[in-house]
Amino acid sequence: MKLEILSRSGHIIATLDVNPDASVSELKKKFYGLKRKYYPSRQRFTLPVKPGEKRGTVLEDSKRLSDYGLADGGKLEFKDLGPQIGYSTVFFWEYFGPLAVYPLFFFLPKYLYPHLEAPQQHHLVQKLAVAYWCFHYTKRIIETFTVHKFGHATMPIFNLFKNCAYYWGYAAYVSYFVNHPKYTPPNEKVSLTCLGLALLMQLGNLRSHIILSNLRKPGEKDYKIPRGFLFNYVTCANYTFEIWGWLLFSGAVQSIPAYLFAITGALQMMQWAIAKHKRLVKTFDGKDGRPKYPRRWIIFPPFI
Amino acid sequence: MRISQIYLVLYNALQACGWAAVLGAILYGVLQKGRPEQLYNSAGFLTKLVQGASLLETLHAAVGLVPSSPLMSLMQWMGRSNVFFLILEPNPQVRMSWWSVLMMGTWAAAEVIRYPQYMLSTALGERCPHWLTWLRYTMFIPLYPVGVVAEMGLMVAALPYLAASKPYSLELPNAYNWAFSYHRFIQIVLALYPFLWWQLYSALLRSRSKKLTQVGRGRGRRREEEGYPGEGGREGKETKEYGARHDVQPPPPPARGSRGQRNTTQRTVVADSSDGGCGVGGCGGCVRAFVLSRNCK
Repeated sequence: MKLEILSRSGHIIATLDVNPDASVSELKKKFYGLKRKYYPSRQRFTLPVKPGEKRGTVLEDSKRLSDYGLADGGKLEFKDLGPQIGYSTVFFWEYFGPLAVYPLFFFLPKYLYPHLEAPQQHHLVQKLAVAYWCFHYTKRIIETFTVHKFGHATMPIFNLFKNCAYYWGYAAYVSYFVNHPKYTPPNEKVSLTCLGLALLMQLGNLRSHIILSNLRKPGEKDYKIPRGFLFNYVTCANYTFEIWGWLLFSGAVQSIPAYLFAITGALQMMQWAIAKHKRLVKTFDGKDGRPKYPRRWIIFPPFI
Repeated sequence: MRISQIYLVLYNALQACGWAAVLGAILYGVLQKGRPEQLYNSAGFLTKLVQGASLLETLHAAVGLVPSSPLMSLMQWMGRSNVFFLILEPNPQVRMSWWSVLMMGTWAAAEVIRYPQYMLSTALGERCPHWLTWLRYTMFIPLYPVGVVAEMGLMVAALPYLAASKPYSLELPNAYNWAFSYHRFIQIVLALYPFLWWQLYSALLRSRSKKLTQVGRGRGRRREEEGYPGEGGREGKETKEYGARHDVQPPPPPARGSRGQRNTTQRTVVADSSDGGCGVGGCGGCVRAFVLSRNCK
């Protein structure tokens, strides 16, 4: 069958002759054959907008063209997603930065705090903080390659720079003050308790990630209701542990930049969590044999 | 009109009057060949009032009275207030600079158009005068660049005083394990200013092209629609005239087939066939008109 590919402004870019049973990824390969600039992960096809819709249905790679009711003469709208980069590539670089940058201020005070007299020894809390920070980001990098299963393969390349700026920037900002020669350590017992609890939160976060990773069997693409552990009470339990981890870290080091980092992260995670929760509630509406999504906190009981 | 609309009209009216008074004071002072600090003395109090009050706009967005983003509104308010309340106000030497006059003058010149336009589009909806909409979406083109140069000039001029007096700053060691240098902060703000400003300016340019062409098309498009509800007054008569008169070429239907098919909400409001003089929804769209304009701030 012949399909018309339109640009977002309505011009016909191409006409493709495809098999109705072909998958969307085959369509994308064909389109790539015509337009060498747009490799498949850069392509996004949507059906024409139906009345009542805000935007047209996005075609998923694994589905067939016939699944969308496309017939001869059908129209598709094309969007160029821009240069793409792999999710795990971005995750690696955004986590590698903090792992490399934070310890610099700990190990090289002569260069990073010139004109300042560095004391002979770091305080215990400063040593534990650098250890915790490095453990956290090492854990994240390992998870990226062994635990996480990504819903999408790629993201726009601009995100690499944006995300790295955020993580690397904050790493430097927090580290500069926690490892500063004029750092004032808080009560040692409080710091130790906070860091100990933070470590437990990290383990909770790891377990949550493993649960999420096991939700889908290989090849499955549908949404699942997370269950077990804290997920029975909170939709985004992984974020809950993450936020607590950073709040406790901040409590351990008692530094404003650490709190700012925790709050910024929490706000972003809240946005994601609300969207995910809404999606799950909408998908699992209890109709047509689907289970009903249970009543749960979204991300941070008892607030939200 | 609903009470919220009455409130918005009043708010915009008061702001318009306030800024008009500021502009008047500045122009008078300039004509009288006054020195910058004298001009600040005459216009400063009022500017403080209107600029301070404009924080309400964030509240309006937060409670949903207008659908702008409260965060955007707050950031813009903070930008201006930072320059005005934290740099200009407390530093007498900075007040002696012509940058401050230029800055307050361009602010006032822009606001004296923007607030009346909001007021009338909220109150009158489609019957908001086209020339006022045109002014609002055109005068920013020269005024905003001048304004941003003035703001930056003022900050640069203030840097030496900020370095010396170190206001709003925190030094190590302290219990918060944090240091903040306002002087350094302003240097960073200065570096970021052109980018932040460009985001705003280019967004306004984009909404300008949507808004102003849309107004022209609105009139032509009307004749294709029949029995459009909410149509009234001048607009209705004009449409009929196009139909009746054969010596006048009706404007060609706008070439926007694809836009017509798509139904994205944002575009619907702009490309909506129910445009009136302001390029906004019909009678019930007065608040939307206000809303649209706010979004384009």
